[in-house]
Amino acid sequence: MDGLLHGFAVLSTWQNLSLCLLGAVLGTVVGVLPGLGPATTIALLLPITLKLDPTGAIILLAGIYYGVAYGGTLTSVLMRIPGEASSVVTCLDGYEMARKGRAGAALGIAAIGSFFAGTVGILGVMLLSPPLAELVIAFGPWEYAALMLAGLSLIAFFAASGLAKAALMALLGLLLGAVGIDPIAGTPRFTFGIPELVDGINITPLALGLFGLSELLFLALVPAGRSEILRPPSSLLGFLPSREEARRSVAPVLRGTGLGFLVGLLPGGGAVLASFLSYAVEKRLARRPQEFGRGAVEGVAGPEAANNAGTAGAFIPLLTLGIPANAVTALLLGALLIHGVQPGPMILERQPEIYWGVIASMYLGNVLLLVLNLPLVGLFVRALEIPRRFMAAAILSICVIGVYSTNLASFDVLLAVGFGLLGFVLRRGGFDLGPLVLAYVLGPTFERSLRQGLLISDGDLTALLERPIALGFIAAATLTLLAAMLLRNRARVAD
Amino acid sequence: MQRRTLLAAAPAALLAPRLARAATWPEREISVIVQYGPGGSTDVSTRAIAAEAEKILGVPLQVVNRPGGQGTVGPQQVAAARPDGYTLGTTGLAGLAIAPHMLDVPYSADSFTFLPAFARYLYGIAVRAESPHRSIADLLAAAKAKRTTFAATGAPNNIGMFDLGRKAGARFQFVPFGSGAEAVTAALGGHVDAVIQNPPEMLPALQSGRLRLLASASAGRWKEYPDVPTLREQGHDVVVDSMIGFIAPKGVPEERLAVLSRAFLEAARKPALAEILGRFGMVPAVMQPDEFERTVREAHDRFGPELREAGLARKR
Repeated sequence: MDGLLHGFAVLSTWQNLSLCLLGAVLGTVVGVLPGLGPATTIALLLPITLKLDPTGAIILLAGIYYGVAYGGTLTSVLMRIPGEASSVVTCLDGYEMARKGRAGAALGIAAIGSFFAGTVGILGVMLLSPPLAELVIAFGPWEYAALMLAGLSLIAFFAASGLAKAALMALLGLLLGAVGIDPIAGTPRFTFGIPELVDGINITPLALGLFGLSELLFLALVPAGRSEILRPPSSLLGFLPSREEARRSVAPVLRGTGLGFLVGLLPGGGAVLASFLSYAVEKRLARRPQEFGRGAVEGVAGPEAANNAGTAGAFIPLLTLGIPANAVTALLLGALLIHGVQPGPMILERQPEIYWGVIASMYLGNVLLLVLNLPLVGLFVRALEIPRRFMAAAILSICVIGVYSTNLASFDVLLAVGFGLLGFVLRRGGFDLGPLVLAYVLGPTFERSLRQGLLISDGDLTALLERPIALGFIAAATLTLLAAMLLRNRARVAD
Repeated sequence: MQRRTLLAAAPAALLAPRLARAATWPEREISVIVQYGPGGSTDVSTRAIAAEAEKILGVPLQVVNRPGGQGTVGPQQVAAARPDGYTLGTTGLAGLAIAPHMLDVPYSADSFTFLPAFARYLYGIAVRAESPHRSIADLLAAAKAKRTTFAATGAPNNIGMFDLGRKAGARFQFVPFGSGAEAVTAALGGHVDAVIQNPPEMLPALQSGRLRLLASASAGRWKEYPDVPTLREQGHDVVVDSMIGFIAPKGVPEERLAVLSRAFLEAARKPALAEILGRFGMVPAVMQPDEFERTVREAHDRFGPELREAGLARKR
């Protein structure tokens, strides 16, 4: 507790307070803009932070990092364009909620869930850092492979379109994820001699194409009048979630927080993985799984909480072990090193003002973000009153600019157009895009970890038997698949 | 007295127009292409030396990040740039001596003119605290008796371990990881027997006593661990080395190269640079252009067969 008070004392200078606010606002903006991610922004700001003291610098950069998890939701819900990779999954149900006139509720739930998860996540960072650091270390290749397998097994519940179609989409997703450098041999595969594909297919053109551009094609097909989104109620209370929606969101937010926090801890994990796993879990546990993909509030509440908790969780290995869990925390590590701060277990003794300053700034930042975001929901929802034909032009330009600005590569724009067509064709054919994207996200980690594990055990799969955590995940995956088949059979009997 | 002044002035007068011309180049800003994204050691060290060099050259040095293609897009753009000295790049063995064996790249060492190198990366071999191995000799004895695994991100780290094993009659199994942080975590959890990486990702775990440094795999010891000897000092003739230096497209005029080389050599000796490099686990190491080029070419020829033998190179 002394530490936290010390942290707030560090924070309570005008400079640090305004840096915290600036970080949170910038993060929200970056989250809203597709293509411009937290990694790019932090990298761009690195040289500027050299003029600040280390505490101020890290408060600013951390603000951007967790602010992004709030902002990314907005375009996902309103336009079906994921503002951030961690909000891709929110497109599935958030946008459908908007079409039913519940955009305000979706954004409200997301903001409140994010706040709750963010705050709990920071508490976790503060109280549980040392034991959780041990968990991070206990996770080896087999555990990762088994966790990813468990995640992939949830695809069985993912799709409203049936098991065969979902499996087909998952295979396509795995294939797309396999493009690029072979994770073990280090040589390129499935690149067809195209140098732009060597680093794999980036999630930005994939997600913006599949979700944003394909939606445009749909809009073009439907007669003007019918493509309009239901207007949200104009009274102030209309922006708030209904009692029913709030009630249905409680459990998903709680689960999303726990799951997201744990996944965020793991190197290679982070907010993207957390949001997808949460969506899959919610779909599995939902009383009305058939509503998923058609505007289920659980599909927004869970993932949005999970990505914020994951953001907080990733701070634990960074601050306690000096290990960055993802690309963004790797940049934060770089920023600390530039300032002569070596993160790791010694940071608490040597530079407590940094450790506690960051923790205190995260508490404050989350409050600021809630205060910033909630009243603005009403304003943002007005965007839906723009006629769809104008909106379509805006979506197109946002998508193209977003894709291009990620790597300044026109190839990525072509790729996004390709994915737009693919997404359109698949959706017309009655395929769900969820399993595709989930498999694309989980597949590479699964492959890499499995092959690492096999290298370590010299090709011996029985090495798995000595790993209880991994066995637990595999048991969960098996049960999930069995349950999926049984439930489906029962549903068929009921029909 | 007058005669002497005159004599002294004569060469100066002859040189004056040359100096004047040299001083007018560069006339505008110079772009320096970095092959990785911002924030990493390559980027930060390039920015640090660029900040010193622009004071000497009198024009801004604009650092441009061109990540992609596993770090091969940057050198590719340098090779294709107009050879006027206004577009340069920084790179090391990863881009010039290793990647060409793994990927189909449209450049080779012949596509570039080499400028000075300014820093070396440090490498170290470590095991986790619970490991029974106390020295490299212990690790090698274990590797002779049974399969022993090590984590690393790739070459040249893994080549160093293969080398060490071959010379001592032991065999190490390489397990690749996506980042140095993941490799160190795998060693901490005992998922692999050892790890060979750079100081930034190893130091936190070493300082907290979770990881034990068995040897510096570089030519010199780590300044944080002056008591831990190098591989060579422990009787194994293996040095893992990689450096970062400047390259330009082929065909930049000689006198411009001379201006650039002089500026970079001077900037490389600034204490401010050494300070930044130290934080990212690098040491200042000035290499003349010809030495840098020779090292890159030698490494390229040596790594090819080693990578192919380990099954890690592109099929021919």
